[in-house]
Amino acid sequence: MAKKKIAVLGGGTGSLAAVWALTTLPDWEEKWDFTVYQVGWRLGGKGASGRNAEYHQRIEEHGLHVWAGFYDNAFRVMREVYGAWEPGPNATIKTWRDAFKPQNDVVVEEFIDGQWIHWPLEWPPRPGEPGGDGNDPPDIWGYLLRLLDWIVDAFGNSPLYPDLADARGGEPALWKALTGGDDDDSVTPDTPEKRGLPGFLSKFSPIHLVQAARDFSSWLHDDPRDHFRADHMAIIKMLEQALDTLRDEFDEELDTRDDARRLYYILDMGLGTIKGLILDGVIFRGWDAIDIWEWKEWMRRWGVSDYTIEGVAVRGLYDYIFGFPDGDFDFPRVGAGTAIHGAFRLVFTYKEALFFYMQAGMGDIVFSPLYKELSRRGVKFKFFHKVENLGLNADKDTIETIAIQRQVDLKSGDPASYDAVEEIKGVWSWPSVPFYDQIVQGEQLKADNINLESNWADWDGVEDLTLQRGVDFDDVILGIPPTSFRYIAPELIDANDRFARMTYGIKSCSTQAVQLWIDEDAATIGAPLEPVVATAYVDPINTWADMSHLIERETWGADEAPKFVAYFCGPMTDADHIPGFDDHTFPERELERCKDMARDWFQSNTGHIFEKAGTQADPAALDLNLLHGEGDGEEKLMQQYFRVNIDPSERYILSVPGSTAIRLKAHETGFDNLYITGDWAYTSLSAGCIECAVMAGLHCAEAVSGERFPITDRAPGYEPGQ
Amino acid sequence: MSDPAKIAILGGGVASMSAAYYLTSRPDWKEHYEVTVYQMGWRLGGKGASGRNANLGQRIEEHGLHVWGGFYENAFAMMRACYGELERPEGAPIRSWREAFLKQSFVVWEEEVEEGKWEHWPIDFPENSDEPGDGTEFPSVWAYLEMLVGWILNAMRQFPLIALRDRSRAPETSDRSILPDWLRDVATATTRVWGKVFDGSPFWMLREAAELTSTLVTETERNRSSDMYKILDYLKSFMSWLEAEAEEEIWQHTEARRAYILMALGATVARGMIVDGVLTDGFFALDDYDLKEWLQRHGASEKVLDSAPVWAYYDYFFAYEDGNTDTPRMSAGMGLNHLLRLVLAYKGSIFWKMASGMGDIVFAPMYQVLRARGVNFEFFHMVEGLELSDDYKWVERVKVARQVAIKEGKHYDPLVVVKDLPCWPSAPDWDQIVGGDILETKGYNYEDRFSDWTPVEERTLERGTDFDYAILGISIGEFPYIAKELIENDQDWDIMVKEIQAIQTIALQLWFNQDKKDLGWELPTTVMTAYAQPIETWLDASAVIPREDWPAGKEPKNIAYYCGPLATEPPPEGKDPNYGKEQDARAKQVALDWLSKNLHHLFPDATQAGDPSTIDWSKLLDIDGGTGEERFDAQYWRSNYTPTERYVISRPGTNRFRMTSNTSGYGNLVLAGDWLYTGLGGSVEGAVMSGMTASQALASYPEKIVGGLERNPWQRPTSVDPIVGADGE
Repeated sequence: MAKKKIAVLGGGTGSLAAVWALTTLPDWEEKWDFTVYQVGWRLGGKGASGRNAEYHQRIEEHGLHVWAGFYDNAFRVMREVYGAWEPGPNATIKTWRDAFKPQNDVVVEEFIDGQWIHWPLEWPPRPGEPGGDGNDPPDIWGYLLRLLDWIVDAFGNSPLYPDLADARGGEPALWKALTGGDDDDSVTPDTPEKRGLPGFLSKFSPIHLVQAARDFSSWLHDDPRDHFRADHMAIIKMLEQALDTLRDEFDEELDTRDDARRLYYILDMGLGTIKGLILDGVIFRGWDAIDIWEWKEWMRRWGVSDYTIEGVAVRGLYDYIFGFPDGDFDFPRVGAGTAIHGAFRLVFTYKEALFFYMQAGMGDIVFSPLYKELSRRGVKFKFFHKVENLGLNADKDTIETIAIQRQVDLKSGDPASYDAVEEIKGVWSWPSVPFYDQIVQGEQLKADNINLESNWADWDGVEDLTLQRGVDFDDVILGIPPTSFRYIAPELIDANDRFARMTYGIKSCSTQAVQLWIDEDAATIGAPLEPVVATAYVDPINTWADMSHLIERETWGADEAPKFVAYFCGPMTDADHIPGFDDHTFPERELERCKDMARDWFQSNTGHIFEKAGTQADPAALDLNLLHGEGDGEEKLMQQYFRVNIDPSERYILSVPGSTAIRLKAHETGFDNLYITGDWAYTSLSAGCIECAVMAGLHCAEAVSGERFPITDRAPGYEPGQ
Repeated sequence: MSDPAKIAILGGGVASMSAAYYLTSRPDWKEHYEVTVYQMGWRLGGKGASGRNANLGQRIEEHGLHVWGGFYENAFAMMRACYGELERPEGAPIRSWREAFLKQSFVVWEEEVEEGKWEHWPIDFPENSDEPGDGTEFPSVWAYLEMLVGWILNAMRQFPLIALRDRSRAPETSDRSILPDWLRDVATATTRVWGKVFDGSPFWMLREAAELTSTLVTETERNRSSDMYKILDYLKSFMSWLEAEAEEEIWQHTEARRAYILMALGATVARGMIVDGVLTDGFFALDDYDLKEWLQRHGASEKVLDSAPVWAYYDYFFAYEDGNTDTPRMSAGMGLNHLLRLVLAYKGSIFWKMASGMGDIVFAPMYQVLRARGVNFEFFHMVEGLELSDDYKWVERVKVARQVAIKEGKHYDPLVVVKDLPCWPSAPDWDQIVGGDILETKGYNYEDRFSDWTPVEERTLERGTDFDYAILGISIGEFPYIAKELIENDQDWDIMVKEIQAIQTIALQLWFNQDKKDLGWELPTTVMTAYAQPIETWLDASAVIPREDWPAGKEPKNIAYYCGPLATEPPPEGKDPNYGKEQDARAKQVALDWLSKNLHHLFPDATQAGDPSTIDWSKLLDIDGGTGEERFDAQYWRSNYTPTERYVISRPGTNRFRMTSNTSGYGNLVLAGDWLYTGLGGSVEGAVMSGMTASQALASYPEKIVGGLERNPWQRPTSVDPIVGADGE
């Protein structure tokens, strides 16, 4: 059989995960020939990063990326990659353990009564390794049990309540009422309801009630279909009573007592979620069933108070997932199923640590090894190839042509020969601008400051290519997101309703990022001494992290090295009008908007996070002279890194209510030779993250090969070979 | 206090009129705003406009066949209030809504029992004593489920095959292997736990399902999921028994077949509602499915899917993509929400027909009431374009073509009185128009933007001067012409206009000089549907005969209205005076073809004896005494081809792209029209609801919309701040 030529369009996480998986198959070289077509000079999509040679090879990211400890598939792939490639003798990051380090300290910022208050959360290390064996997450009832455990722990750790009772069920009287004193593990039809349980619950302390609810739930059969309705009602009633009592005790003090308020958030949200999961039948119907609900609406429906819904616990999650279509902060939207499932995966299924920090730029850590190893295996990378249009055959069911703009001529003459990375302090790194010396038009690009990754760039390329099916490619892996389809796939949109619906129904959000290099250390500026990731702070750059561990990767001289690095990110509210691509100065204007925002933001909001970084006149402001750089004040600020992710393919893909249902599966695109991959494809979580992009990549590889790959949390409907 | 804000209502169809009506129902409205309606041509009504033809017995000429659902709660409430305010004098015709609307509860579906062979399937939907528009809320989804299952139980009790009825009650009749595991287990345990005797009969299961659904309606606090699965299994077991037991008998016996089809549809809907979470999450989640596809997913057989009631429902909505009858497509979410209201929640009668033209019944009273309240009307004003402000946040200018000049600067008086009833004419009143005598001869169509009339003035309405807020009540088909800037600036507009399809329809009206009996129709006066495509629907509209004004002795004895979808062609981009003529000619050809093939089955005596495909033209009324096929030219047909006349269909998966009144994205632009998100399909009721939400957007009034959807999962952010809040501030 002749080898199939696969055109891989776009070189982000989804594409590369798919190609990676396929090239792990023993006979892949006999079956496929891969060419990755990548706009501009680097791989990585939203995860691409660059080293800026003008500033001591500092790392410049699209945004703040941390890996969650539940990214099981992503970690598995990275472990495979690091296991396979040989980075060379000078390498300083050789293993996946060198590349990723645990990060368990999180701060969420509460805004109570006009004041910002830190809520530090330290997440205990958990057993297992991300990407290791046996990491399949629980079913929904299993999650519910973990949530109950978590609530019990929260009570157990709270100074408000005395210790948990030793006995199972907390109070013997309660346990007897629940089970009839039966300690046998079989559930009888003689139910707690019948024993008049609800009447006397109010006698018990909240801590005993939550403990009894937890113990009783775990005592029930693993499969909720075998439970009696009354069992579920007993659990709910106990939690309701616990919440009532808690509220009665502390209602007046919620704003003033942090411990009471935080316990209240946990129990209020926990109870509402449990009620909804049971009464809305989610435990039977799966997460997707409630994805038609906006998460806040769904919680309100199950009785969660507005106090909690508008509180930090909820806001933090919306911030974490940029849950604001078009960056409209007044209009948070996320599907309830995805929100809860995502939150559960994050906090209940992490291995080792809640988060992991990459030990260099994301491009360096993730995409360099992939690029180097895949190149070694024989995958072709054609950089500076911008996909312009997918053309269909007459029957409108097959990709027949791919129009591509070749952006530059390479001096070598071979369009697949661009050498994309260089070694910096033992780390293979991507530059923040192309290696101009490899490019015929290099001087011109540099002089005119052309950004080849931008659709708005004043640059028409050097050649318009048309790839033909049967000649240049057979199958297509499309790793460019739907936010670009209206420009590159109008024929597909017209030909297929489901494709159109996905394109238009998926919503997105521009993002912005700021990176600061500071000349003083954490203690001096009054930042947390242990590195933290903090979120739910003032919009728009509501999330920040201490990234000082990256300083050693950059090439600062011994005396001039900055001592503290902080990355900020958040949604960017769209311009009132997004102009056509012929408005070449649009990106510049948007960047100015970001800088203006940042100037104001640091002026007003720094004091709370860096307590000693203020000026004498204004302790809330940032003393710009603390920043690393030439000159002073404003000049220094302008040497920091600012970025707006406004290009269609850079926009963060959201999980708005009702959008899970319209995501297509990797193999169900409606076009015979088209497979899709990316965090926008349908997966078990269907959310914008590295993990989902990798899952989609693995599903895509399954669709191309018909083989089955190990996938943690496999989504329904992906059954290769069937 | 500041000057009243100026509200410009663009377009004068149902949605716009409802918006105007509710805006000016707020008692203090004059303190807050003034209202001007800009209407192209000479009459209000949009797709519901009708006209009296002065040359032909003041006959009524409609855009199409309109019947009102008995569940049109908001539409009826508005018309009832409107007639109340009208206070027509003693002795005047049609003084109350009861005279305006007539019950039509007898319906016929046509079953194609074999290729080309049709049989009438008469359905007498029971009337009830409720009155539409009385303000009571719709049943909950749980109640719908109860009604559905209860109805199936009842249908089984009365099943036409008596032997089958008996067999269904025989203990242990059912094959135990079709029972789900748990049911087999409880078969023995039931007696102990629930104190009921499980006799294993299919009827027992059905009754149990009905009882369970009844308890669920009232016990809202309970965890229903496990019971829902029981209901599901009971229904499944019962229907599998019915199918396995009696498939052949059923399909050979007309009555049994029909009963079975309805039971199967009911059971499928009930099961689908349970499985897909409609009971807890609403209908939205089903929007991505086509209704038939959804029914099939939940077990409906090919025969059931191809049955007359299913076709009837697609016909009801013209639910054919591109107007092509080969591609029936309807959102299951919209379809079910609308269907359950239509058949389970009607008041008085399933359908109501109008006692005169829709213009006379609806828009003349609305016009009179609104004029009296102080609403301004600018006729002959066609909107040409909405233009945005420099910051893209407002509609800054509205370009309007003034189509004709009214004599002596007077106000155009649009109504004519026919037999004491104020009506709309089928053509402008040329006497009021400057140069009217010449224009009359030109054949211009002032309701058609492609027609070659030239404006007498290009007006530009400026924000802040001529208007502060605009209510866009013009239908979505027109947007590519008038909303270019909005479409270009906002992807959501672009998508909405692309995905929400408006299709061409065909309308045909025949005046017969014999009554229905003489024409060969033996059944009662009816509305019929699911008949041969494309003109699949017929209404016996003879009730309007007394309102027309024919020469004595030449009155029609029967009037038939027909309608259906028409294969849809993209409209021209600019002026094209022939376009309308071509479309009407096409409609005529379609009508003639259809009549020759299909009139015989309905009116056998209106065709030549022995030659069913030749029409007996002499049965048609022609006061000018034409002969043969000429007499057809004295009838009325039209193709609804202009962008605003096209009917908006609800294709699967497109509800997510519909906006709501206050989410246009612009601070002063409010939307109204049945193409907005209301949960219903294209209908008078949907249009009225959208007019009410438009009024709410600006005036926080009315407070309540009966059956208004509580939430829209695909909601966009609100862009319009009300002029006046609920508290009057």
